[in-house]
Amino acid sequence: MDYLYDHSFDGFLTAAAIHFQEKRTSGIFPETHYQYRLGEEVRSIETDPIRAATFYHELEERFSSDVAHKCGRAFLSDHPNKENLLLIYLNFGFKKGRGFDAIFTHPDVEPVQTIATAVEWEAARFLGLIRFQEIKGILYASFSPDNAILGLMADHFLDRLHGEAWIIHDTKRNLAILCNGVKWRMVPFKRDFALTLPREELAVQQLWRGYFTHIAIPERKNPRLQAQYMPRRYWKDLVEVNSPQFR
Amino acid sequence: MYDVYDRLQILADSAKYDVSCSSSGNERKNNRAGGIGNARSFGICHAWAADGRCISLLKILMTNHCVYDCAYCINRSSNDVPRASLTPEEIAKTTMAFYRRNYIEGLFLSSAVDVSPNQTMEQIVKTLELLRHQWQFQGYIHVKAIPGADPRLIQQAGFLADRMSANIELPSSESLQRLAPQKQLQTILKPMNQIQHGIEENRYALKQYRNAQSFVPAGQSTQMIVGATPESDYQMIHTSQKLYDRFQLKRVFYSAYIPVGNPKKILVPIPKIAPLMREHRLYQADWLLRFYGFRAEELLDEIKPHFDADFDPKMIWAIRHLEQFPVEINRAPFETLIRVPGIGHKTASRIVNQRRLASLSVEEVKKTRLVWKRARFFLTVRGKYYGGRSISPEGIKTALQPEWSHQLRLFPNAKGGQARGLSI
Repeated sequence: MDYLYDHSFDGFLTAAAIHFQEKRTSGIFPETHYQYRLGEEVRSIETDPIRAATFYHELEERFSSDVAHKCGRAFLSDHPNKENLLLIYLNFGFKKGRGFDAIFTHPDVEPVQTIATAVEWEAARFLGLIRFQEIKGILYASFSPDNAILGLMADHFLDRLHGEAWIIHDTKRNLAILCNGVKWRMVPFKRDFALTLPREELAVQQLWRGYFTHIAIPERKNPRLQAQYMPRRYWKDLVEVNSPQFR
Repeated sequence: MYDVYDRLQILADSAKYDVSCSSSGNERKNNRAGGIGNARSFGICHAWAADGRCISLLKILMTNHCVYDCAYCINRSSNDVPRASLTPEEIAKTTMAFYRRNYIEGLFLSSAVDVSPNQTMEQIVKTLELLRHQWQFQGYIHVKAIPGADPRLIQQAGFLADRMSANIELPSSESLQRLAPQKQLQTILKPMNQIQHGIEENRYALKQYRNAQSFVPAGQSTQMIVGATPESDYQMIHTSQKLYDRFQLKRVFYSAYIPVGNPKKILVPIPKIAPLMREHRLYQADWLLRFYGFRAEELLDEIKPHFDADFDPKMIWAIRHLEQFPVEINRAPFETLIRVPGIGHKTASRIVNQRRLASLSVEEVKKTRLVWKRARFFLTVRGKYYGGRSISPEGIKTALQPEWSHQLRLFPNAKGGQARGLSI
């Protein structure tokens, strides 16, 4: 029997809890993209935040906080089959017990390690690559990461820009974090109008572009190396390279 | 008179040969009292310039008007470049504007010596005071200690900055004498010494008093130019080791010499191996000194004073010490594993963790993310050797040679590229 859930991490954890505590499932799938198969029974899982939290805590106790944390990171991956990679990973864990994740090369362990690492890596990269534009006293940044890392940006910028109002907008997933300088929350967010930037903002961006151009050593020009660190799919949101002179 | 835009470009141009870009080594939380910014100990890169080097800090000179005439330097008094200065207010304001928009992690402030070392250092301290006190800036600041400045000014800067550096630039006093006759090695080492003592005293103060201020919490670094003078790689790496041992430096940076302007003095002819490749090899070797437990004299010596263009320093060391190999991957201690070419810290700890549970088969070893192509010559797995019929330096070099063509991609036209000491 396949379990269908609502895309949320709590929903996934609820489904996983039911799998381990009541009835095994053949797979966990997000309900919107589910491909019904002949003869396969399905069950829609009602998300239960309390049960999810309890199960997450159980993972921390039974294995380690690192394993639970890794599941959370892997869940943010854009891998199309992340739910079942996680299910296989946890099945192996429940069979082997504490310390199972040290068997790094095992085919049930390695894929989750890999996608969790990719998520961490991209999140670390974007702590540097987020670019704010100041509009009417609010700092607004748009980006479109490969993985759903928006939530991992929040605490870093809350601390760094304490007291400032800011928005970080994931244009791929139509979500944004709104922050009033003290608290933040994640909300569905769409922007279907062009930004009009104040003169002051344009001047700062121009200054930054100029600096960015002049700090490079011409004799060492190496666009391939640059693109390796700063993949071109991110460029449209980067002030220093999204203007015509860099295309 | 130029406007701020033009002067910022001129001073960025003048600062670009200083290679230190790191913003790591200090964790500072926002004090939440109207301040802005924090520092993260892992360091954050914000952008990568067209030369592939990371931009983490706003790297800028206060002025490029200089009384010195050092042959290797773009800002030397005899060189015909546009000259400009920024005021402390202008620098503070630009830093804040860039920082709020997340373009940068902080400021790297250096300067040419315009009137005197003291006057220059005073301007630098003034800028730091503006940022820390008036703007309540709590991001990262790296600042140059100007050789010859009053120790009191260096002390003041140290309590405001995260990191300080004094560039030694050339690895021997003879070379310094030849290319920078107005400077003396002792003058450069003096602030280094002072900063190191300051850090040690501060360590004690921080333990004793809860509200003690930190002095240069992210430590100090320096820079050496590669390929402008006849020193061998062995001399360079040996100098670095001495600096690490004696001054507990956090980093020595290496900067491949690029002839700037019309050199009055003929510097050494470009050596057979391009400075950029040398720079890359020196960074790799530097990594081995700092994280892999190697000593300079293990990597090179008087007889073989240069690194190899085709193979990285660790590979060369391993090939020259075949008597220590192969090692059994399921038994060798961690310190031995990290000396195997193709195995780094992460892979080694992964292997050590996993073999506690069960010994690794050759398929599992290949999946640990080591570089099997290189490592197989130096390992046995469960007693079996996978490096071919006989282990000899020539055999290994021949087998690996084609693998290295991918490295050349790092250096377009065999000359460009940035060294990152990662995959040793």
